[in-house]
Amino acid sequence: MPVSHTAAMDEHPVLEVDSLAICYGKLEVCSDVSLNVRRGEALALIGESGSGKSVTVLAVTGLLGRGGAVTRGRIMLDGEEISRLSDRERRRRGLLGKRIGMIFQNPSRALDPVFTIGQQLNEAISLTGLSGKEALRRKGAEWLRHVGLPDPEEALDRYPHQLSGGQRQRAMIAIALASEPELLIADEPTTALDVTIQAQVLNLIRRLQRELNLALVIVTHDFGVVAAMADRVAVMYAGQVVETGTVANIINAPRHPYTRALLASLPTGVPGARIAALPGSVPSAVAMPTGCRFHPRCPIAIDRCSQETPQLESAAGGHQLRCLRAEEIARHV
Amino acid sequence: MSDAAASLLSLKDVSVRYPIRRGFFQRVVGHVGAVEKVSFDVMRGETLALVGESGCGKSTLGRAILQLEEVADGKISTSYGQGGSRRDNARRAQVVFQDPLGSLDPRWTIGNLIGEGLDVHRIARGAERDARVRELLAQVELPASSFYKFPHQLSGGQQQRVAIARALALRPQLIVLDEATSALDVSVQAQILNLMKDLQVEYGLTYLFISHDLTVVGQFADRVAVMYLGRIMEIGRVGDVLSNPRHPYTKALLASSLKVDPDARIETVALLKGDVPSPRNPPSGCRFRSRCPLAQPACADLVHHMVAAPNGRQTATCIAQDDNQQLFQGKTND
Repeated sequence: MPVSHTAAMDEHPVLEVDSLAICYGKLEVCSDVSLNVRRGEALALIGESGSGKSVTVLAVTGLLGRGGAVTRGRIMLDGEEISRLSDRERRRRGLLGKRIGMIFQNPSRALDPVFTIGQQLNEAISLTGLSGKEALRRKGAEWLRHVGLPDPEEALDRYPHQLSGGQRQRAMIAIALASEPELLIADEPTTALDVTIQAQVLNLIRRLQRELNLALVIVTHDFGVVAAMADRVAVMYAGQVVETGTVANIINAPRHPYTRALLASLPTGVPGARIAALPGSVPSAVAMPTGCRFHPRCPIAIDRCSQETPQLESAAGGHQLRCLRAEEIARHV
Repeated sequence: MSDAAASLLSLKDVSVRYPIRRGFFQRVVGHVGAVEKVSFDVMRGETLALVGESGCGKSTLGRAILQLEEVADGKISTSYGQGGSRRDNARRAQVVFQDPLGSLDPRWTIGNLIGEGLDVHRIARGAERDARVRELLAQVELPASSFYKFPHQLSGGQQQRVAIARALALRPQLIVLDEATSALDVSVQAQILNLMKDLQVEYGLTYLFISHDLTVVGQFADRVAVMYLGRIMEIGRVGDVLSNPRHPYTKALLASSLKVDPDARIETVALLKGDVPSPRNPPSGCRFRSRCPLAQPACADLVHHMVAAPNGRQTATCIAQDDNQQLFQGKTND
């Protein structure tokens, strides 16, 4: 591991989420999420659809929308509790757009079609205190050059629809970073892109994260993205974090039965081989299983699993695990 | 496999073009060549994968084979009778699309959705039809209770099973799977891929598997055709093409695909420059030359044709093909 990492470990986390629960009306979509990210570190949040990974980052950015609310737990940004602030208070503290940058999956929906890239960039740049038409334009072009858009000066006057998908994603990254945030959240940033463009965009995000020493949270369902980008990984299932660990630990030595099953269900690329498919599907928030939420699909579930609720606990090798049989698993590995 | 009698489908110099319309009267001012002079055979009982980035023409080619798109040039001949109507063709060739909810009418019950083909083709009626539908439900491993449900009451994986049952209802010989598992979660994708493999063995189905995911293709397909801007760049057995790619584009595509390996960090991935050019105005000569790390001036005059190798493998001609090995081993930067 590079030296810069060990240095970063001493600092307190930029983002700390502690036993977070989120409800939409009476539905609890997220029940117990704990994470932390330090400067210069990339945390991947991986899970299948409905696992609560996107809702978690929406709560961090305050974009839960109508009816969504944090019901338990805390979200700390630089030691400051931000989970229950009003929109006005968020804006006053510079939480909307300024201190947290966000990259969405679909750049054509996240960018405003009636404003040029330059106008949307200016909005973000002016949050840093810079003003004046010339200065904004210079800074804007500099950002677009930084994210590798060809002809940055010209791109400032383009509308989103005049750019290709990969270029739009680059423009959105520039906008997210132009306000000089300390935390960058990327929610499925490359899911809609072709593989060659995906590699370009991920490379760009990683490079900028390093250069600007950002804390990065990358939400994804793709273990390939996790392996390429993350320092640490949090695996989510049915609104809970079920396992955390370093990227090497999670991929090479997963402990939780869900993480193992998920990794086993990836195609190996071996012609004709059968895939070890995990039966069933992610439970919905309406009918959450009792006890351990994974027990109906778990290959090693015992009677206890349907009654007792496991907690996220530290295990050997720097893992954190939510499994009643964690100790037995540890002995067998 | 190379036995001509075993071929189910044969494409010869197939081109598909879309008109470009302009102005108030929507006059045709030109054409976009979505598929250009594609030739290959699909053998009975095999899975042929079509891979490539968006806009490479893989879906258009699938649609042309289903007669959903008119072929501008060349010929598609099938061993199940050619030149029939679209309706006749539907009994032999079916399709499963990426987004099951988009292809299932939200106001129809699952029973009616699966039975639609049986009704339209007057294959079975009344109790016999319902029995057939229930049998299909069992084949795609859906509970019998889903017969009276509506699409929105099922999960994404179950919806895709309904789409597969619909495709199976007419006992087709060919099923075109157009990104059929791309929208699914990995655990569900694994279930669906296994199911389709089982069905293939049971009914001797032939699959045309359109995908952009090389790992899935490596596992699921027997042969693979790599497309770029409407042209086939490389075709051959999956193991040969993916483990020993010859064309620079295949190599670049493989290099860009992320591996589930914590040592394969993004910093080590060889990046391809730029975007896929617009098919309205493709580069002359080799179409990959605008992004190819090995491009030379002579590539602009290269005439596209396929060079055959053993095991039915074909690679598009490439000037740099012989000396490109070492370049892809070192990493390149954006």
